[in-house]
Amino acid sequence: MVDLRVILKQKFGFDHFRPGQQEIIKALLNHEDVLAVLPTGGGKTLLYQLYAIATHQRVIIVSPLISLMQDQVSRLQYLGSKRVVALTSAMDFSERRTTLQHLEQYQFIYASPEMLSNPQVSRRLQELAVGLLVVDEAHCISEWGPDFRPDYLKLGAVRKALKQPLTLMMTATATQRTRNDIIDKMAMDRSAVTEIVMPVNRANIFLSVAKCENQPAKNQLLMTLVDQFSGAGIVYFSSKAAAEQLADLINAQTGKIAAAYHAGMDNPQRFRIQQQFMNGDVNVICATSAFGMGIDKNNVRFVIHYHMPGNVQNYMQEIGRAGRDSKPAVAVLLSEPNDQYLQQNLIENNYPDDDTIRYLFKHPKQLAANEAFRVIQYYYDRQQSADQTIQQLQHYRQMRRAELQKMIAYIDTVGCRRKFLLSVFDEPMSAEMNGSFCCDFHNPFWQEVADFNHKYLDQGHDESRFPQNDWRTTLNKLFLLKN
Amino acid sequence: MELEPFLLIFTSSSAWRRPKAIKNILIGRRTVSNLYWALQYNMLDFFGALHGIDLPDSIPSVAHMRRSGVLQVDDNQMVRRTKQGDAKRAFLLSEVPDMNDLKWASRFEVGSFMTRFTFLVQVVSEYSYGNAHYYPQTVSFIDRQIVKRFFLANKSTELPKAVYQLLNDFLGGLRNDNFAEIMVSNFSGHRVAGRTDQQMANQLGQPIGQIQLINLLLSAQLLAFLVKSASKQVTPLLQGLSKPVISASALTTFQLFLKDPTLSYQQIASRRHIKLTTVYEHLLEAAIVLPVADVPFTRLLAPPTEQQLAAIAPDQVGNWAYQSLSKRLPGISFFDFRLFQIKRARVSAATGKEGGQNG
Repeated sequence: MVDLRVILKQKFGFDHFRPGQQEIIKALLNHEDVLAVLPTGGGKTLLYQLYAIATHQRVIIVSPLISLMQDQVSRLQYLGSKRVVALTSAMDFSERRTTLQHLEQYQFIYASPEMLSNPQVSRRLQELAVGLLVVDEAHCISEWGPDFRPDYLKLGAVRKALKQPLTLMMTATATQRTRNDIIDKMAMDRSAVTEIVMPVNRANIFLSVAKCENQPAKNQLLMTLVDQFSGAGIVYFSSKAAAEQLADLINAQTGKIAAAYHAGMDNPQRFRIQQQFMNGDVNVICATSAFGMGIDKNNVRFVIHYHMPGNVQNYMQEIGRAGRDSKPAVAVLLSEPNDQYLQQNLIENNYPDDDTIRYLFKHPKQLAANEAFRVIQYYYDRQQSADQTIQQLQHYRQMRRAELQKMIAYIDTVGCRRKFLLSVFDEPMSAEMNGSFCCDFHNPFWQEVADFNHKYLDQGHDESRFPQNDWRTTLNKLFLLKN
Repeated sequence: MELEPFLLIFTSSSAWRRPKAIKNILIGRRTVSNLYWALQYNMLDFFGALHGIDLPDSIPSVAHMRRSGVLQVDDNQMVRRTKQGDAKRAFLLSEVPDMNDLKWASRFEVGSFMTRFTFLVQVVSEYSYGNAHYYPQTVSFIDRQIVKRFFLANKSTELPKAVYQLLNDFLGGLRNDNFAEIMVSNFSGHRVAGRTDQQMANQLGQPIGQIQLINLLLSAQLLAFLVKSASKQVTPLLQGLSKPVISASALTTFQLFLKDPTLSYQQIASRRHIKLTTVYEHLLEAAIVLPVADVPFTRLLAPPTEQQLAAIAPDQVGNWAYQSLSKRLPGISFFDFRLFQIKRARVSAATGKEGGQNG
């Protein structure tokens, strides 16, 4: 029997497992398929990395975003695993061909569901021995599959084609309904899957919401908060343009250094921002939701939402970037009356109108010609009628509207915010929750932001500034030369 | 990358040009039409210099430049630089490294080169600190393998010094210290994060498009510096980066044409299993891009046809439209017409007479 704690110490330098980790790895070593719910920062990557070290087997990881995969590849390389690759649509033809030819060299293979649906990739993977299939961010199966990324619904078939390897489905937030849905859509038997569910509550994150009169008032409040909060922070936005504009405003109006970070930036620029944030050269990252999924920065002290996310699950995921070091951190959601329309538009724009669906069912050649019609193509391929497809998409649209309403209800709640959030995940408030460090219902946070910061967030570090070196000094520093 | 600095540089104040053609030339969309306009605009040396770089649509860029008073736009969406544009162009050129170095980006994949080089700097930087525990940059499989092989082959305590020396020599030789600052901002390594183009633009108070252009030109210069250094040690880093002047298929067609003068164009098409129109395109491509001495213009364009065309050619042969000609000389093919224009531009430029339309 392998000694997991020895591997944990030797390979990762940790003395103890985080809650749930050991239980999950043991279940896997016992050949049980697992659905694991671990909070953000709960050490999900370590699960399959340690399993791979213990068993010397190959792991395929299904992951939703290129940026996330690239971050994970870097992270695994950082942790000492060199045989890592991400099969992404960012690869050009020759790179993909070369990588596929040498695929047997890799122990960790990341791929998106779309890539796994590609017959060439699928054939190649079937030739390899796969020890573990991991579905990261597994809630995407339930959340994105039916109306956004239908290839998530094909993962059950992918698993079957890979001869049903041992499977680990991981997510940070999933209700019981979502968990059941994940297992069903993976074509697995609920009774045969071990569910290990850790509490989603992050007791060290203080929760607060501010309802602003309009956008200028919201901008002003953001500046005040960013200026007052100590340590590193992330501000989330729904659009790249807003992330860039507000990063400029923070740089101009506060004593903090901010940088925008979003999927529209190329790899080298993103890498530099990440490094600056990790090194503490930059205090505040103004990000779209592409940021932070693979970044392992423990000491983020605040997460501010400039725009609300579309649902409570995403909100929990994103605020989970704060306080991974278990020290106090704060989550603030800023809201103004127009915000909900922005989210509503995002939902409505995501769905083709009924006439388009009917037209495309009559002209199926056009379905294949356009990537945007992938969802409709999925239902068409399953021999559904246009009306059935319309009905189905209508159902999911309603579901998303309801989720958004829940998010809005969180903003409007006049009771304990934590109780509200946890109720969405059927999780009761634990008795040991400290009333004074919970949310702005229990604590006069908005009257005493400076005191709150001093008491909980200020760790006595100097505010960082960009190092103002000339190129000669930077060059010396790069290559450890002291002239 | 912003398109406006390039439009400012490659438009002309004396002739109307197509902004879309300028963009297509820079990204290297290899069609005979784009190559022809590259010839007419004196941009052949820059063909494909921005290959693989994301450029915005030309229409909003042109609209913005028109509003700023640097470009005039005619009814056909052709553009011409204004006096104000000339002044702005002159200022821009004084603020950036030598534009001629962009030629290196036409001959080599400068973007891939910089990816490899910045990755190498990171690897060597961490190595100099004895640190094997870091987040590596995201680079393609091929670039990673090339850098890895290079690193393993040269791994020694001397390597950091050698890379330092190379960069110090290069950066020290630049005429402006800000150029060196911009170049160094690309490098990440041990506890050095680098800066983004936007951050450098803010720091130096320059437009981001200018920073991007400076970066591109410096990358091309560094590549040229390495190529010229004649050091065999760095050759593996440049593997697979050179770009052919002519497409392989066009070259095959042209060689067949040269080899056997008895073959008709139709026979060449049959031998090569390509369409007749493709043969014409390949020969036109060769006539545009290969050295003038290597192109048998007299064989391609029969002297009587050339004389017929010369008799009615306008002063501005480059902008002569085939439609207006075909009414006057109904028998003339587009192939002959285009060859006539190409020959005029190339042979006259080679002999120092009227060249393409200089900006």
